[in-house]
Amino acid sequence: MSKDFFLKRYKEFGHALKGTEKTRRALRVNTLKISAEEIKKKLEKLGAKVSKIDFVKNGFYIEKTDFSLGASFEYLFGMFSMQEAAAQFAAEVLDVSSSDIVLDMCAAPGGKTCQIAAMMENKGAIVAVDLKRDRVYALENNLERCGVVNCAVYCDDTKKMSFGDVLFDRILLDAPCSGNYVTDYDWFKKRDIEGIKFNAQKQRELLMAAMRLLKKDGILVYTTCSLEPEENELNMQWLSENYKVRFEKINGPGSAALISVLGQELDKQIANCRRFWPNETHTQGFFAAKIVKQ
Amino acid sequence: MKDLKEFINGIGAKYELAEEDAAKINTKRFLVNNELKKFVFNKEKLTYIGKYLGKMKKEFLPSSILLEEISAQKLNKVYVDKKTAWLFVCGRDIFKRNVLKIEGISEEGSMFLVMFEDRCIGYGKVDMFEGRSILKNVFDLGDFLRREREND
Repeated sequence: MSKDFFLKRYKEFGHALKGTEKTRRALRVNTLKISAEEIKKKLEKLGAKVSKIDFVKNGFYIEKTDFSLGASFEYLFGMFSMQEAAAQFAAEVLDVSSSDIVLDMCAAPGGKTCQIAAMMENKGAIVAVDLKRDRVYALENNLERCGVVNCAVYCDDTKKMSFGDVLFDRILLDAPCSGNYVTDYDWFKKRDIEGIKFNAQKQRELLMAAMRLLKKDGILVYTTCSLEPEENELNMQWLSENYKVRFEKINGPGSAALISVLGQELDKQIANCRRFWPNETHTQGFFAAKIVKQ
Repeated sequence: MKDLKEFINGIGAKYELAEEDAAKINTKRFLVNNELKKFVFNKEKLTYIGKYLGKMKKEFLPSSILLEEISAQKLNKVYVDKKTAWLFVCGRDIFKRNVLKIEGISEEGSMFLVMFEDRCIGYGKVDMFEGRSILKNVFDLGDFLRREREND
């Protein structure tokens, strides 16, 4: 598959992308340690220029800095994490409360887990799972740095895990996906439709596990950083055909998800899901669905 | 939790630790509240839970979370400026001449928390180097960056 193939495909979906779009560098404030106003002042005092990301509560774009933010005391103290703007949106959509029981299915390296913990004010419970041990180390490192204390971490396959009779109020499935060219220089060389379909199948298996573990009326947020409909809208169509679900409207930047795509007319509710196109949002490619189990 | 208690006593801190709330995962030690205890499904696959207190190596190494908590107490502390603090988080030892303020009595082998702007950035042990007293780095927050590099 070539770059031309994918760009032509995106054009058919209504977006004339160049394939060279870049994302803006961003950070997320860890409100377990400091407020957004305070860290902004601190970073500005150090010589960094940051500006508020308007679609998340505690995120800043990094406009200018002549030092490495990741090698600052403020970072070591866990006051912020480097986290791309679209990636910060997933936990915002999950909309947790401090009494929730939350499952983070593919949690490593833990940026979103720490964000959820901060939103829950370190209360309630988060069960964070990831399959790969080396990535779980990074997750643990982030939990310690950010001062998270309401989380249990498992290095396991969520699909096969037994959770006893526990059902979750909220589940975040930030699914492993084909990614997108904005954050991966060689993306166009590496990806083809077969691989995308393979990933879509794996994502359906994770969606099945999520539906099994979610309470009735519980909320599942499904996100990917893929621009490909097979991993996004078509998986949501599959979900709506196989489970009693409702798609809640997501407000935010970007565009409504596609409901007429690749020759298929999809469930109209899927338009409630959100797509971030890199040329519109200046973020990486991103898809988010907020699903209520009925 | 004997190892953890030895560290706490050694540094002269007070820390409430009920045995029933303590959890051990391999070399790591945790404090777990009742809410989280319900989510221990499979101990074999559990890698981290609740408040991470530290890990046992040759001796007990406290986590940054535990250090931050106990640093609010009246303990042995040295205060340093930004340059010395940064060298410390890069793994360097601290010479006495670079200490701005000392709280506690400095004796060979005694442990001191290292403070920068009222925040704990690690701790060390008083030692002698070429006839001079130094604070030998035992743990510093730069460990996060070193661990991140290991995981890359």
